[in-house]
Amino acid sequence: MLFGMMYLYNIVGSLNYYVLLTYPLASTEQNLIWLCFFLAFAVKMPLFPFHI
Amino acid sequence: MLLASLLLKLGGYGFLRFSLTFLSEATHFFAPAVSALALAGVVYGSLSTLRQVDLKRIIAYSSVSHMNLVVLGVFSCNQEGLEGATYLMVAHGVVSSALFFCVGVIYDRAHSRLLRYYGGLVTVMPLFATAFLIFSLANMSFPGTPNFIGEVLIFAGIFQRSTAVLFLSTAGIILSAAFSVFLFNRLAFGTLKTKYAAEFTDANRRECSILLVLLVPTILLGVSSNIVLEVTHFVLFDISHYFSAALGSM
Repeated sequence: MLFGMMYLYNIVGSLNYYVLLTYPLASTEQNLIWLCFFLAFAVKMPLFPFHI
Repeated sequence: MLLASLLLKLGGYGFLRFSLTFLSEATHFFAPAVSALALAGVVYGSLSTLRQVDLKRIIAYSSVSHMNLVVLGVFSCNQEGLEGATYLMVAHGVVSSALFFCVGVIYDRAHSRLLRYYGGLVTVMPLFATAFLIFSLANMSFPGTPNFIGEVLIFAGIFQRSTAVLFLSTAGIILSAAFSVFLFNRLAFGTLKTKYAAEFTDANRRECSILLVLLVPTILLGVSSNIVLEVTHFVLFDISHYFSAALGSM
């Protein structure tokens, strides 16, 4: 979601894909950002609990 | 039609492009949980389809089931799973929009989407019933349709992770066959409601052309999968390789 992206931008300083690829993210931050993205994608392609 | 064919795949694209590449460790951490959810979604989506009475909802819930299978493929994180997920997304885009179009053709005639009002349509709409049969078989992942290839590749990917998940997701195949055949039989075969038979004219030229445009990729992609796969080989190899490299250096 957008908050995940804003948090990501806060940490990395750029949203360039190639910069993000090579940036080492700490484990807990990665999990948090992953959860935000996952909620968005899970609603979009209906995953089971979010499929409505 | 556009929603089912394009927007549902955005989530899959997002998983492929974002989760697997720069969030690889989190993906590896959460993969069992997401796989469990997706597995539940496959079975539950197919079971929900069996209960529906509205034509559109049947196809929508079958889309849910297919997309959960795609997520299972993505989170298997090896090249076969990723290729199967991509291929199933492409195939599902064609077939799902074709099925929604078929429902739209029927709705144009009778202005009702309840399944109980239909029956025996093959006698009055043979061309439409043929196309609907091919799309129903594709929805069921019949061999010779692209959904089958996508599903086989996804199962090849899942097998490398866990055989228990594979065993349970094959229940999804059985249930999707069940609701697909159920839908087609209720719609095309059975007794024709003769009182309304005059309304059911066969697909006219415009509808036939759209059905043909959607039929050609279904059969073509089902027979020769290299059209899509050889484009996606390198990209997906890169993604899976990046994933395992990121994991190896973890």
